[in-house]
Amino acid sequence: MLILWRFRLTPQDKRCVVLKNIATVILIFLLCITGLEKIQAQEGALLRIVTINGEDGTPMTGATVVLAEPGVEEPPDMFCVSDRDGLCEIRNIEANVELELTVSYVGFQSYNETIQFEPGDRKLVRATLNPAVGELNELVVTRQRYLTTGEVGIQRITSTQISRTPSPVAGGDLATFLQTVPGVITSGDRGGDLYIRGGTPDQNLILVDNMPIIKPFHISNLFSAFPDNIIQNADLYAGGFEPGYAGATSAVLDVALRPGNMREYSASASVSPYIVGLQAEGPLEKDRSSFLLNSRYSLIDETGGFLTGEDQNIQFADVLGRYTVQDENITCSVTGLYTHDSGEIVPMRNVDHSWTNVAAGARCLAFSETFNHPIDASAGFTSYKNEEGTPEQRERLSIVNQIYVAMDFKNDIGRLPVDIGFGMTMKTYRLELSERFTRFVSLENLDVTVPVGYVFTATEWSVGDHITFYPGFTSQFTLDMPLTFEPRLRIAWQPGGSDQSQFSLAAGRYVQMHSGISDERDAGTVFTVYQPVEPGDPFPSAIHGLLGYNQRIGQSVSFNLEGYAKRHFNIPVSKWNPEPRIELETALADGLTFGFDFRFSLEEPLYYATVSYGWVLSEYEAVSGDLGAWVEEPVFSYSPAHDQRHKLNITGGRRIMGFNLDARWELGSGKPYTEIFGYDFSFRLPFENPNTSPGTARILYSEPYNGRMPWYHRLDVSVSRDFELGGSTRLETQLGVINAYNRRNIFNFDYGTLQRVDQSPFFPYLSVRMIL
Amino acid sequence: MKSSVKRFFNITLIITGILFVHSCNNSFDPTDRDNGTYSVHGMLDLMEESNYIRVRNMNAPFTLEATEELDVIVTLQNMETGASSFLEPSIREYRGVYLHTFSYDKQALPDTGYLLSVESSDGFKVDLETVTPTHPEPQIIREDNGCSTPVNMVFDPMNGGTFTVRFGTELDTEEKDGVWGRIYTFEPSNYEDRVSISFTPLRTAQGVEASFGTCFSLLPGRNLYVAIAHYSPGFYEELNADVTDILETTRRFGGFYADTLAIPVDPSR
Repeated sequence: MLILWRFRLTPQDKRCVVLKNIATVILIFLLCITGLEKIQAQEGALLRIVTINGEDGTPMTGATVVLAEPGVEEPPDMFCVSDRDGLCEIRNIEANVELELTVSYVGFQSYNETIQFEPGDRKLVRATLNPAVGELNELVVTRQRYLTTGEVGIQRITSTQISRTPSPVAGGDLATFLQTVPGVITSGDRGGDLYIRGGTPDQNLILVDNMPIIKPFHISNLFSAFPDNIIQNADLYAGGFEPGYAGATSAVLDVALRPGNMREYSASASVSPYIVGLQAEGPLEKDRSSFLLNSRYSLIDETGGFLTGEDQNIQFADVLGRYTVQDENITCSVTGLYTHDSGEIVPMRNVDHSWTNVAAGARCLAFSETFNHPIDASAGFTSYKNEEGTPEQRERLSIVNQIYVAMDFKNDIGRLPVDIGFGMTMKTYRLELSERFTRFVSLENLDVTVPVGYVFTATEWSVGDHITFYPGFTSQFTLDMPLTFEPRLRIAWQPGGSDQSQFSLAAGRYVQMHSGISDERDAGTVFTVYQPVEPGDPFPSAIHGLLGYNQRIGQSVSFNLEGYAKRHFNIPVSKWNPEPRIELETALADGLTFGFDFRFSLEEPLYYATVSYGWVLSEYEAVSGDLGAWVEEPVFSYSPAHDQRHKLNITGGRRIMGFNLDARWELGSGKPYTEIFGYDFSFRLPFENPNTSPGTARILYSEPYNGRMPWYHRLDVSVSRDFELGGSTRLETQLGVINAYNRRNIFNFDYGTLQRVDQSPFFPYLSVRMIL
Repeated sequence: MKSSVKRFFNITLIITGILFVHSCNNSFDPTDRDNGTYSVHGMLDLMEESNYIRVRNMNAPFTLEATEELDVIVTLQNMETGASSFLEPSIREYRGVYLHTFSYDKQALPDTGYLLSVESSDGFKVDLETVTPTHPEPQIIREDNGCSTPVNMVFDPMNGGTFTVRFGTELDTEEKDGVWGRIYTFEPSNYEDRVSISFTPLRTAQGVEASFGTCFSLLPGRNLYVAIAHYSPGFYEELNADVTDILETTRRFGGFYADTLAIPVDPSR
């Protein structure tokens, strides 16, 4: 009897087992953190460098830090690149050797210092870089290393890249730039959803200063909550992302916002036919703390009809505030974000959509000569609400609230740097459906809170001089579900030790604890139900494999070729029925995506050009009976609505006589849609007589996703110029046009009204930003 | 380097131009025209002197222009005799759409095979076959009209069509609905060549009314009503099946009849 009892665990027993597992994992990591302190013997010295922008006193991202013996011609092997906090570390430095420290960044005077270490020394250097005047220092150019760290699947985005993409707002927006990235698909020019290399929006993780934001993109796909002038940098991981990111199975967008100016006050106001914005920033205590406030509000519903001849019934707004304090050994920031979007995706349908993000979070990075490793901690709250319905009544509401806390440590095991972290998020899911839908769907109104935790570890191991391995794993857990095991690996190989070329590989397993359900057959709806995975149900998961080659030629030219494959499991997809209507009943499908991206980039001081092409094939398969599909095969394969095979982007620009000319041309193949089988009047035989009753009009779908929309292409151009008005006042102007040759690019076909809905027509704009 | 850059721009411009010209086709027709088919809805009601079939070109959207013309000839052939009749077309407008209905002005015969053909001038043809149900005279077998006297109601012969029965204590009128019980369905698997139903009027009425009333109170009209419906073989199943094939849902044709019988009841016995 005792033996039988052991195998028959009650729910309480199962919970006990899970809690024990969680406690064991946390205990192991605590031991790693504290116990390994002792393993870090007096082996080598440690140098931490914080790079500060001399213009505004804020941390500098992407500065090159090199430590080398003076006069040595060989390429240095002690180097790093400053991260978003301006911090980078060089470890295991040989003691009692005179070394030259050089910190450099293009456009700035380099910082030089001679430095020497005692065994076990830990030094912190704050290097301030001031803008360069005149010619670039030749030393800076020769010492500049193009440091690659296994970059396959990663797109590093700077505010400069964002500002160069034509956008109907002064400066540019992250959303517009993301559309130039191969493998990033949108449903058109509205909706705010991103599909990245075959993944759906609910499979992405978007972090803004470590705050998980569900949907920071606006209803017009030209805008997000992030204009160019508040972004420090953004990293898009289109797949194969590192262990520190948990809870997503497709892609990660990690956005770091910049701090406010630490030295001077500044304000700006911008206006264009699309949007009006205000920004203010400045020091609260010089070189120590600052604030940044940014807000924008759309005007397109007022101006769109006049400029395009078509009503644009969409509204959006965003407000951001950031407080940053930095001390010798610690940097903290507190960020608040609010976004709101509403309007009609399909104008004639009389269905209103809206979504709102509210977020508040804090993040601190602490480092000092006392600690062996920096500590990164963050905590906060985010809320996402999306709803849909008629103007008179809301019919569907889905809310996700998240309270999160996360910590990240770096340490050494012997000579291996180890990154260890853990986090916990309390996720509350709420769903309300009006009675009209609860009769048809297996979903019920929902209000549940699920704690989700994760731990991860990662390391870096160099074999010889040319190959570096970055293994790691992530594990997630809830109270009701077993631990996940998500191993991940990145490998970087630089043939011949050259820093001009690199092969890289990334692979891993990814799991998420929630699913997002929307009816993808209809591009005109963006309502998504977010709900946790039920105990006993399989997790949505994925396996990624990526292989990339990056080559630089000289200082100006680079190209990148990447191949990838993603296998998704347990994707909830809408069941099918022969008639177009909102469908929230789901079945589980598996997906396979593979493809390749090619990017060519040319950067010269007076001009630039980028050509990027992506080819991708996405295919889902599910049991036909589960899908409700009227096909004969037991397992049905189909291309989902975001399977856009080809995407070509060409961007370029030139500076002429003080003017900046920028252009972007995009060509894309059509996405799948379900053709109409026919238009019919049905009868309730034998109760309705065809002689006396007209019957009920209905439109019938054909085989799911059996058609392809036509190809689309669009040219956006802009010319901009800045004017110095005296003092520190500057006027930025931009004249441009979206869809310069007014091509009718289809957005979707509305089955309810049997009308074609097109994307934005020819849209001219003049945007102005005054900076004080 | 500069000449190679120039060459690069020129090549890019040429490629862009070629792609632009090549990808000019922007038309969009969401209709799956490979199906190119007609929908057919109708039935042969054995109790009616005329029967009607609705035919529609499913590629035609719901507009007057698209639905005005319907290029089809509809015929109904008696497969026993071989006689074929052209169905008379009629057209009427309903909310911006023309509806095409075809009438068969002869009474349909029971237990007879019929072939309905819809043929367009370009040779596209839809054929639908059915065998009308038998129309047996119901046999009521009972000792007397007593309320508690068992009744055996027999329908013979049957030819494999589904048969439904519903008992009621009051008929529907224009002012109000009648009082009816649940529907009993007799599928071909439930019987061999005849349907035999046994019941007691009082117990049946009590079931309909969900009460233990007396014959006097439950059957004031001195009749127990029996509503019957008899379908062509397979027709009932076709009308009530889950969707597995869209095409099937757009073509419905079969035989049918419905009737209401009054079983006299003497409450005093």
